[in-house]
Amino acid sequence: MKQAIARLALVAAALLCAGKVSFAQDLEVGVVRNCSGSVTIIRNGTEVVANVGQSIRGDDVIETGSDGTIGVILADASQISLGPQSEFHLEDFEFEPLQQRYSILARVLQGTLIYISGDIGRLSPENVRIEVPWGVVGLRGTRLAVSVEGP
Amino acid sequence: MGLALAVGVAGCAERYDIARVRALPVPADDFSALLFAQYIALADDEIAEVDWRDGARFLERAEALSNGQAVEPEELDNREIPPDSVANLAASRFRLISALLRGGGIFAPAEAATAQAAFDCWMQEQEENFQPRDIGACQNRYLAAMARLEEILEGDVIAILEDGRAGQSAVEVVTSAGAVVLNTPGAATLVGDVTGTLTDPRVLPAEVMETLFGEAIDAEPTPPERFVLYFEEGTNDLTPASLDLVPALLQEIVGRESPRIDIVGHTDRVGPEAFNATLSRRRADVVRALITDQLPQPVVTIVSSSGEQDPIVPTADEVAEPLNRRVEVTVR
Repeated sequence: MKQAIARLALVAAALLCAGKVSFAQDLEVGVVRNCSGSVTIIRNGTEVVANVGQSIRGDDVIETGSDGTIGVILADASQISLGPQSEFHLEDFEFEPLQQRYSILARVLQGTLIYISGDIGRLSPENVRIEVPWGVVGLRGTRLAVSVEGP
Repeated sequence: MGLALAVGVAGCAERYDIARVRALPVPADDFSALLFAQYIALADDEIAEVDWRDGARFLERAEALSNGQAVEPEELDNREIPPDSVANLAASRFRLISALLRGGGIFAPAEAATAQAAFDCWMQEQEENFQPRDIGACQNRYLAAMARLEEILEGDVIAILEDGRAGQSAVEVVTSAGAVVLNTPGAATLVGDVTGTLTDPRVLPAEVMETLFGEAIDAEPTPPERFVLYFEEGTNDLTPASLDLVPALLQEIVGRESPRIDIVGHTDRVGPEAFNATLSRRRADVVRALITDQLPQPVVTIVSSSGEQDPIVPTADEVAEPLNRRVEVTVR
């Protein structure tokens, strides 16, 4: 029973996406700029409710519910937005201009993504890769839209 | 209403002149061209059965397509449909329009045109309601084409959007079956489920873009804003012009909820590299202090420096270049 209540509380919290959190982490590679509806970030197997101002880290999975959308800006000033019923995995992100280390590797498992490239796309476009179930998308300096029907 | 229309049609021989409509220009896009041919074939069948009214109606649809007009699956209100068939036809029309809005006519023109012509044929036969075999034939043609159309649309759509930026933009999609390059705004390819087959780039109409991507587009964040502040040679003193930019920079920061502020210091190539590494860091720190001192509440700043390694204007060593003595601030 207690467990059921805890789960219920999580579901309720997931619906309140517009709340405000503000903290930075060394591991931060991006920040949630806007979100609405039900949006969850899955990090190391743990679900976190998305909030404006919250950190996005490498290897995060972002899931939106049937009413959920989210906008994120990454450290290289690239922009991500997801439509409802989407699942997005930021598999790898590296932006170290001093060492000239650049990488964005992301996977759209389901739903819709708009991606606007940033500094990595300008400095090292070959290191920007968006994967979809049946292919890989590379891009140079652009605004990309992806729609995946999902399983 | 049916009677009035029939009388109107009978008075105008031109309206069921198949030869005239057949000679009209074929529409430019594949979907409209295929639909044009199928409407003429339907008209042919009806006129052969001496059903002038429906023959004329299919020809009207073909002629509209030739004129470049969009022709939707026929609306239920246009015909007197038996009440027990209304729900099924309404659901079938909705299903077809949903597939068309997801790019059915663009990515699967043959299946989409067949589904629409068969739907309109089914509507016409259902209104007559006395040839069960014809009704069933049209309905089955619709169902088969619809199933195939939806199967094709299960694939992934990759599109390139207008981004308002100068310079060449391109997207390359690679699968096990090949590769496609998209380089005009609005161009898209459909990646086949499992097979990885790619359609040639096709420009998606605005309403298809909106159906597929509208909600994700609405969720795009306010774009990051970048400011470049310049310094006097060999110092961490901002130029007067750059000092004037500071209020706008602060305005941008306070206008955002929980922003991140990236501050990156740079120098030109006058002086030793080690000196410039230190100077670029001092410049970045000065800008950070300038920002944090004037804001009512703490903000998250991410400070770094590149010394003389990342010039805007590449120069030989020991060349003074005012455009390289700078701090770049990104508010995001």
